Amino acid sequence: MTVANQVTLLTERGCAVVRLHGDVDHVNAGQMEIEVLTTTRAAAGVVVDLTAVTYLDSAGLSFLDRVVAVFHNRQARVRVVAPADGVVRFTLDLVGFLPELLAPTLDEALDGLLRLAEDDPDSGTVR
Amino acid sequence: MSADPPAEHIGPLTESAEELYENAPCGYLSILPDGALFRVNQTFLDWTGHRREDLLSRRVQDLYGVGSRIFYETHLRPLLHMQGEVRGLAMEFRRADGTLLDTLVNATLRGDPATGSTVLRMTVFDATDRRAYERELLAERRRAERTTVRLRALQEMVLRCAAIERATELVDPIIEAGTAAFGAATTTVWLLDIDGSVLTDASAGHDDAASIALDSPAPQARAARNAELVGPRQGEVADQVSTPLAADDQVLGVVSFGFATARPFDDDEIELMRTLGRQAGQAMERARLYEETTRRAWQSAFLARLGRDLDEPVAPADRARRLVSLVVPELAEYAQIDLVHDDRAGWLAGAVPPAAPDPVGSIGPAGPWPLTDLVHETIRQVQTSGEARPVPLAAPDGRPAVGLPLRARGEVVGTLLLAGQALMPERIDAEFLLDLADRAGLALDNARLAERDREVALTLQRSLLAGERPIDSRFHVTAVYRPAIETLEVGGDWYDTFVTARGSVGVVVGDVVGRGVRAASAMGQLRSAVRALAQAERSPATVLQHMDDFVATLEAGQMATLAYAELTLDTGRLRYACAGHPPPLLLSRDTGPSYLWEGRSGPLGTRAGSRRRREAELSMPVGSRLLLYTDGLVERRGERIDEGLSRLEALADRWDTPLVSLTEQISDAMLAGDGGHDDMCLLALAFDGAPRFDAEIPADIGTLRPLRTELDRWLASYTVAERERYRVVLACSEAVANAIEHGYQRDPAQLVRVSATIDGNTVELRVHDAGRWRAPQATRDRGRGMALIGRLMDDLIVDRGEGTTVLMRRTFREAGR
Repeated sequence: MTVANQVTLLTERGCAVVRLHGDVDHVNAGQMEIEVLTTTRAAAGVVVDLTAVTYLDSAGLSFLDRVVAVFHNRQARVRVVAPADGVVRFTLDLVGFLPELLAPTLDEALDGLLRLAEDDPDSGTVR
Repeated sequence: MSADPPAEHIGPLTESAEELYENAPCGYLSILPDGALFRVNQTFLDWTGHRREDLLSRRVQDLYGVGSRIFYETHLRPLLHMQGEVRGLAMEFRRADGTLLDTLVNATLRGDPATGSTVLRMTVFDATDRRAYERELLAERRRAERTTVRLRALQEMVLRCAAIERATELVDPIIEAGTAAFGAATTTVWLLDIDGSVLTDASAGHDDAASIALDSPAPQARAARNAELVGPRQGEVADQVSTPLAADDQVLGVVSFGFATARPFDDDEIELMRTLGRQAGQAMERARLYEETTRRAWQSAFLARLGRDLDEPVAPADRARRLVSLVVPELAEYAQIDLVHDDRAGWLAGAVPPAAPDPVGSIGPAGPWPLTDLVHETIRQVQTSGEARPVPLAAPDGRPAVGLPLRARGEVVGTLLLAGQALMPERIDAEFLLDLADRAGLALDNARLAERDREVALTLQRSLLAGERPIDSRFHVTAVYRPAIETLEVGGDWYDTFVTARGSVGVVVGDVVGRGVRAASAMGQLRSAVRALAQAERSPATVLQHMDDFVATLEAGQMATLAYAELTLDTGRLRYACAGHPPPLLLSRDTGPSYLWEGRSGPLGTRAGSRRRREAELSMPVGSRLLLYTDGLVERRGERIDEGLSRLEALADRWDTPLVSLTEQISDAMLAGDGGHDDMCLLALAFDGAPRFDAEIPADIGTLRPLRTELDRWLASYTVAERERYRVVLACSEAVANAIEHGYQRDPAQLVRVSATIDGNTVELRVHDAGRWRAPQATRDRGRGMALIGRLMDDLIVDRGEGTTVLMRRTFREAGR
């Protein structure tokens, strides 16, 4: 199964934005992880946008866990976009996903990342 | 004397006064008032050896012995002056050679009217013989007095000894008698040890007691060897005497008297010392006999209690703990039991001194003492040599300890370690300890054998109880079995559930008379019989009729009771019959709990009870529950059975409790307090009926998405709110993913079964796989899935019997659209 059509990479205000679509679950979480980590290899600041995600299960949660950990290791800043009241946000809240990594919209996520970059100019933007 | 006439002329009348005076048979002294002698006769001179001319210049006072001189000054002179004369006074005169002459004197004071002066005339009689006699008399009296004192001291000792119960308590009276009777500076009681080879000082403490080998040349050893007193020979002096402590002909020890200075001993004294030894010996023998009798009585009482307490049917570990609590603190401060299992020793129970809050089963900070292989080896050697004896050990904390082989059926089955002091050490001997260890070994081994039987029976019963459970979304069944709490013995309770070919489910709960392996085997046969008959026969009553025929061939099944019910799943028709069994309890949401008292007849194979098998029928509403149980659930000592039935009825009326939790709660509550004397089982059947969701999907991860879509659609058809649907779908998907990955390892040939029912605003989901569950590789991910389900749903129950069934329940909080 290919996940290429479920992962879109864009650059917004100088940050890498990975937009995921559809269900993120046991079926595809593994491939998604590879896709996301390879496409953002050079990014110093990444937004994982889950606005278009319709379903997120425990495999999806583990996937998010791991990419956040990898970004931290790469010293890349990361934000996760999950609309308030959405099912994804519901699931993330249910398991106590770190609130400071979450933003309800892409713009707010980018604001957060850019604020961090100003505090620490050496990182946080696309190189 | 020169003027004396010739002898031949001497006759009675020829005596001159002068001659008479000089040679009178008494001494004659004439004394001036100041004591100066002015005349003395020859007799006195002869007796004293003084010369006349020496005496006439001296005063009489100078001739007196010291005592007599004082007497003269204080008595004689004043008396003379008052009375003019004295008679028969005992006076001592000093002879010329310095020795004293014992005399009796008469004295008269005479006045001379011519000169007006006075003169003292004194006659002196030799009293040497008389005084010697008097002295002898006095010495004799003193000796008699001393003997009386000694005899009294001896009697005192004998009296005190008579009241004594312990041999060691005799030591003090003997020592006191030695001092009182003989003036001994030291009196020592030496006791012969049990081998008769060493004398030990019983007067000293245990640790620093001196000892003397019996074959040594010491006088104490000689006295014991020869059973005869060792002291000075006639006329010799000595500072030590030893006399045997003997009863009849048996020497128990030696009493030795030590004196500050060497002195002679007379025969009486020696004889009294012998007597003291004999008397004390007899008292000691008596005390020892008394001690022996008390010890034996105590020991047999102890062993009797041990036998009684260890006889109750409990598991080996409990028996071991009981044993430990029995021997601590009476026999030791610490006890530990190690049992040999297949040549590997395992610690079973230990106890610390009673100062600890929980003496039994708890252990000191250091834990149980590891018994080294050496200890086990030693004990085993003791066993193989056929010479069982306690093995002295040093406990890790330095306390003296003893290891005892626990034997049963000719084998060493373990060790009993006793450490520290016993409460009454004198009551314990090696023979007793070995006896104790033998009894304990047998009791523990019996418990082990009983447990093995119990395990066999339990395994048998479990295999019966844990048969495959039919999976059909129109009903679900749960059951609880609890062995009797007190005995943990396997009783005869059993249950079964099965689906018949005609679309019905059969549930049965039964109780076989008896316990253990026999009962378990009977259960198995009855269960198979009911199953087979239920498939063939259409009514519960006919099933029971055939069961009567069946038990006629099965002795153990006689008088077995059972309740059997069959539910037709597409109609909800329930038919049931009870053979001597408590009535089923129907829990209907509309009408509340009610006992089903119809369809009753006597136990299987009954002769006295009714063998005309009856059955009853009713319609079981969808959502209702049926409870079958055995009498162990509702019977309590001292309570009428209808009280138990009332309690059960009240407990069962809980509609918000999922079935699995309900049976556990009922069992816990019913058995709380005085319950649990018997084993019990409780089976609950819930009739779910339709509506329902039912799916069988291959164990392929790709099927998850279509399943979610289908389940969501089904939930939507019951107007379940979107967020609640998402919860249920997510939970279900997680459970199915687990089944696919961990139950079937993604083998698409296997099927995962998913079913759901909605009852009011509660959805119940069931995900079943028949796979052999394997520990997941990525534990974290799987754990995450279950944790997620736990947060999404109200109840999560994982039943891992044959395969895995995950039961989930959610009562919707959000109203549907």
